[in-house]
Amino acid sequence: MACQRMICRECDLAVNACDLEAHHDAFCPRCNHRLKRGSYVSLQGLLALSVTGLLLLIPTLTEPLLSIRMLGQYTEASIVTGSVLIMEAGFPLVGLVVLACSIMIPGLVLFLVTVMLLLVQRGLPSALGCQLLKVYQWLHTWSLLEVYLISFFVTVFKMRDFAVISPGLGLVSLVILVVLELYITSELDRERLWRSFAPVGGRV
Amino acid sequence: MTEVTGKALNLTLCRTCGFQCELQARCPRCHARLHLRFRHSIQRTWALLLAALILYVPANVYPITVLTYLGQTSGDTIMSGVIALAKSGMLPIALLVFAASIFIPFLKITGMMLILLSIHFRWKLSANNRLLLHRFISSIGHWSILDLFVISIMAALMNLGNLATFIAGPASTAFAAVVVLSVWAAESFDPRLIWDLK
Repeated sequence: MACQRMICRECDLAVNACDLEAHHDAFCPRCNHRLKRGSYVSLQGLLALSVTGLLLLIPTLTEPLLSIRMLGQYTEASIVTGSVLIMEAGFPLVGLVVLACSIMIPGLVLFLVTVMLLLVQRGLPSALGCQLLKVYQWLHTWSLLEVYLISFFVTVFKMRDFAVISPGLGLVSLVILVVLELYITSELDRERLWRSFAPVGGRV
Repeated sequence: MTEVTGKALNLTLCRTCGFQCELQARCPRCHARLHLRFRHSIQRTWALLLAALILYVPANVYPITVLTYLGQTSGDTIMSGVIALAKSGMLPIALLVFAASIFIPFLKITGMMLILLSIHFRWKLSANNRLLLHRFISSIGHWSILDLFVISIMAALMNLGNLATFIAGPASTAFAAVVVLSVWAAESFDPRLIWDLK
């Protein structure tokens, strides 16, 4: 069993970490931060999931998420309309934050993962891959689809007294998209991507 | 057990790509600049936190939503919205909105300040507890944006021209800024600084 000295990212402790069996993780003895994971899902599988996610973006964006009947009028809500209305009302920054975190960044993250996984398959160093990975690392914490989903449930409860609200097909695809996105971002082995895009000699 | 740190061994992790190597000017793998700790971590975190703290006031004082219903206009602050929810019998939702919009931003700002002050004045607090606090703040930070999402969905649904409209109010920009700034503050803090004083 090969062992190597690893530095903990959170508390800077030098730890002797040995190779792990699949599904075993190594944790820092001092601060309990996860030093490394034994296994990730295969890159092929991840690629399939991220392509699925990209396809699911289409119904999520085009189909109505919620529809409402109120004061005799029927309205449908899509992801984009709300943030555009907020921008038009004089709060461009708020609209932009909402639009970015709810759909632009999640969509971009899926696109970046797909392209990076396709690049990895060639097994060659890639400057483009490095740049995409940097953008991905910078953006992915702002992909807030799960928060967005919960906010739909909050909205339904807030408005149920004075309006009839029914879920649309878009909401179904949003639920699947949330699960996919959470799984993909947690299973993406960034260290593996860095090693592939920018190989260097052995670790110190 | 003697605890040997990366700093003592002159080893560092690249902040960009996580590569582990001896301290040198640039990362051998991704060519980003290398440092033993995030550069100006404490100053940056303080600056972002103070900005967030200042904006926390208008975010809570001014109305965050404006409802026009059959010709009558009324504004709601974050707190009055939560109280209205609780009064109409939706206590769990009221608690969720209260947690996401008022309590979590407050906890983030004061919690990060506690950590920074404890480092500055070398308070003898448990390093592990402070690290857990930082991890909790980092992981929960983004949830504060919930209220803005709810506003955008309600704005899209209640867009009935002269009959009823629902839109964001003046506090919303300040609130959005509080969320973004406090998340950046937590990200710019280097948790290894907590352990350096031991």
